[in-house]
Order: sequence, then structure tokens, then C-alpha cells
Amino acid sequence: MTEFIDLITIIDLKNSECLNSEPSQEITNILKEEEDTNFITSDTDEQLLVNIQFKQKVKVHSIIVRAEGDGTGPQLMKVFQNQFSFGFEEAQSLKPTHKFKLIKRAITEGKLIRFKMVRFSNVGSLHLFFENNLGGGKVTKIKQITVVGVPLETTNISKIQSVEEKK
Amino acid sequence: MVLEACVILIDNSSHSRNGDFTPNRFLSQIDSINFIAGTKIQQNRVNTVGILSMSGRRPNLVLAPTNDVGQVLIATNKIQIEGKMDLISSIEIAQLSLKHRSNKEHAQRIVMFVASPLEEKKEDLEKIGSQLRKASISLDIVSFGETERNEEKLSSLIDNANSGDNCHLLSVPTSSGIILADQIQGSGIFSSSSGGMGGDFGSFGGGGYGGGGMVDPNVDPELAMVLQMSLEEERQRQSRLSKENSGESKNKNNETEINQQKREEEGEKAMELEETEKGIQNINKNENNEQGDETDMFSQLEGLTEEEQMEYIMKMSLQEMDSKELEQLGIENEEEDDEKEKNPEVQNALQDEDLVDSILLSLPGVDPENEQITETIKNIKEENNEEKENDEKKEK
Repeated sequence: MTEFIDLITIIDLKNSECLNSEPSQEITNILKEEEDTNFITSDTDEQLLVNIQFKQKVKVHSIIVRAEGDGTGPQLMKVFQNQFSFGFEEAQSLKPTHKFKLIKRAITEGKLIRFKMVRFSNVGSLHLFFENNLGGGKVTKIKQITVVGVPLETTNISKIQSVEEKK
Repeated sequence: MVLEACVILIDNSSHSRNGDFTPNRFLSQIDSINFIAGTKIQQNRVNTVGILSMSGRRPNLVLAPTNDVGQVLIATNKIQIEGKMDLISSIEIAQLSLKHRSNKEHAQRIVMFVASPLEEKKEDLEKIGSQLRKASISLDIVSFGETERNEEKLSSLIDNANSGDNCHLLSVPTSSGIILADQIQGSGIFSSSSGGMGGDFGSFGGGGYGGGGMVDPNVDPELAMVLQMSLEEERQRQSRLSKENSGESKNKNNETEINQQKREEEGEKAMELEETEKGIQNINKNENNEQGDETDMFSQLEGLTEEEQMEYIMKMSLQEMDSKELEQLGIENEEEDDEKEKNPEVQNALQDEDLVDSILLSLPGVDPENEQITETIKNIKEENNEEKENDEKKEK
């Protein structure tokens, strides 16, 4: 019944971050509307931690992770939600809401990775911990991350216009 | 002007009782910390600085990150000298403090003072360096007192924590009469975000004010005003000189014509401005030769100490300005009443009562209700009105 949308418009890019990425890269390299040649590369080791903050609470239906098929794509992805000040220490000690082992086809073809929506029915922030990559090397690269779902609030504030404008 | 949250780690172990840095290692760290905190908060009012003492029973966060310099001064006085330094735990606690910073947009930085011989293993230090790098925390280390023994370990720590040249290791060797705070200030690693000393015109704002900014207007408003005005005059002259040298004498004449028109339209303000421009042009005609000197001036400035820079700037501005303008700036020369070429901005500012009141209030030891002061202000206003009448008469 409810249409699921790309939640990119609801992502608060200013308060979202990617830890252990190359210093010059920005979070908008992977959180973006269309696929392009930008990506995020891991820096010190092969782990990446993406903290996504939403502007309002959402229900998350699924996620798409795009990467190259050359072995730099991520393999083990642990998903956490609604955490405060989430770093690598917490990512490795806490129990994730979801754990996924990604396969090469899923990331090269951009397949939907389904979440159990009942567990993600009230998400303010989503945390993706990419623990290792498919090739086992020291560098992990991600091209794009798309979060699919539906916002909890039905009022879309940006669509509210004053009466004069409509005339 | 980077937005930054910084935690400063102070070495309050027994090794810092040593007096090889005046007065002893511990107190010189306190001085340096006050300087660093002041610089960072001056660069950006929203920057936060916290203080953590590394030695004793356990590392102790003496001051949670705050943007209030006064708190920094109070906190540094509470720290005691005790025990041995625990580097790894201190860095981890600092990391935690930064992780829970109130504004997530702040860049994270740790500044660490090391004055004791390190007992930690090199591998452990490398590990914690990588941990900092992963969490995008930049690290600055000031090593003094035990520089040779710690050199290798600390440089490997910096190498591991470094990503894109955001981490620095400052080793201050022991020699007689060295003041740690001066060495830190001279190195310039805390003066600006890029790690370089601001060598531009505004940086001679005086020792203790920090390299990158101008004089604090609250501390010395007159000096700040003087410096600002001489800076503006300088810029105006520079632009005028560059116009002249491209062979645009015709334009100059046009300028004066245009200014005459403006004067009729806009009245007193433009008139005063045009007169000052005329005055400046006259001076420029006479001293065209000095243009070569002036382009060298900026590079020369960097080579001088701050005091010498001040003197040099004063000299230059004194050469260019009329003695009448000097009086307005309150420097010297209380003579010559006729045909004052006063700075129009100051004139208009003085007219504004509210502004004058607020300036007076900010000056210490001044009671705005004081009769003398109100009389003086009245006199200045009367003088201004007289001036304008005289100028108008001259026009006709």
C-alpha cells in the first residue's frame, strides 16, 4: 500500500559521516541521488563505518550497496540503529540489529537487500559497519548506498505553500 | 578558521618538577596551555578546548571542552604534580571526550605535552596512532625535556596518526633560558589550521594575542582602531598606486570631476571624502618613487619582530598622513586647527550618541555620566558642525 521511496531527501547529510575514509572524501560520494564515479575508499584498514542521520523518523524497507566487483567491495555488513556517538569500538562490541554477508552480484548489480521492517520501524539514525571486503585486501571501496523506505510522518513540510503562492 | 574541538593533555608527572624550562616544566606547560587555548578560541568563538591531566592515580578530565577561556585559566590552576604519565589511557579518555562533543561538526584534535621518558612499547603507540586516524582525530605533540629518548616513539606515533599532514610533532630541545610558550608561538603550529604562521599585514597584533588575528578590540580599542584605519589607508593607497602606474592619468581627472558631482548630490560626507582623496593624491604624486619600496614592504614585514613591525607600520603611516589626521587618531601632534582632514568615518561615528555611549561604557574606569566627558563630547560635536559649515562656505 505505502510506496517505498529513496530516502535520500530525508537524510541529514550534515550530521552523517563516514569513519575511516580517505580524508579528502565526503559522505556525499556515496549518499547521492544518482550513480556517478565518486566513491569512498577506506584509509587505515579495510573497515568502514557509515553513520546515516535522518531528518525525521523513518521505516527502512531495504538498502542497496553498489561497489566494484574487483574484490574491494564490502562483504560483512552489520546494521545498527538509533545509536549515539557510534564508533568502531561500539561497532565491534555491540550486537547488531541485522547482519548481512553481501555477495558479489548484489553489489555490482545493485540488488535490494531486504531488511525486516518490523525491526526498523522507528529509525532516527542508521549505522552500517562494513567489517571486511570480498577480496580480503586492505582497501574497501563503496560507490553508492541507497536507503529505501518510508518516512513515519505523513506531512511533507516542503510541500506546504502559502495561499498567495498558489494563486 | 577551522571549527575545532580540542583536548589538551598535560604531563603532570614528577618529571615535570624539573627546572630546565623556566620556571619548571609543569608551569611552562600551564603557560603554553593558556596561550594555545586563547589562540584557538580567538580563531573561532565556537571552538572548544578541554584539559586532561595524564598522571596520578588515573588520567583526569580537569575541564570538559568549553569555549570559555576563563574556565581554562581556572582549571589549569587546579592541577597537581603527581605520579607517572599514562599515555595510552589518556589518549583513549581524550578520544571519548571528543566523541561526545556537543557539536558534531567540530573537527577533533588532541594536543599532548610529553616531558617524561616514555615506557610504552612502540607497537602499542603505533596502534593507538592508527586508532586516532580511524576516528579522524588529529594529534599534535609537544615534546620537551626528554626529547632524545622519546624522539623515535613519538615520531612513529605521529606517522601513524597522520593523515594528510594534520598531525605535528614539535620537539623543543633543552637549552638555557628557553620559554616553552615562546617556542610554541614561534613554531606557528597552533596559529592557523594549515599549520603555518600568518605572515600577513594583520599578524603583528602583538605577542600574546596569537599569530593569526588582529588586536583584541576589547583589550585595547584605541590601538585596534588605529591599526584598522592605517590598514584601510594603506589599501586605498595601494589601489590608487596601481591605477596610476597603468598610465591612467586621465581617469584620475575624471575621478575628481565625478567626485565633485557626488559632493553636490550627497552633501557633507562625500565632500570630506573627496578632500581626503585629493590630499592622498597630492601625497602620492610626490612620493611615486616609493611604490617599489611598498611592494617589498610586506615581505620585509615578515622578517621583523612584532615590535619592529609596529614601529615600521607607524612610520609608514606617519609619512603618508597629514598631521591633522594624526590628531584624529590620537597619536601625537595637538596643533594646527585650520583645514582639518579628519577621517569621515570617525566623524560620523562620533555623531552617533548611542555608539559613543557604548564605546565609553566598554572603556574601563569611565563613568559616562561624568560631566567632563559629556562636555567633551558636546565640544567635539560643535567642532564638527563648525567644520562642516566652513567647508560649505569654501565650496561657495
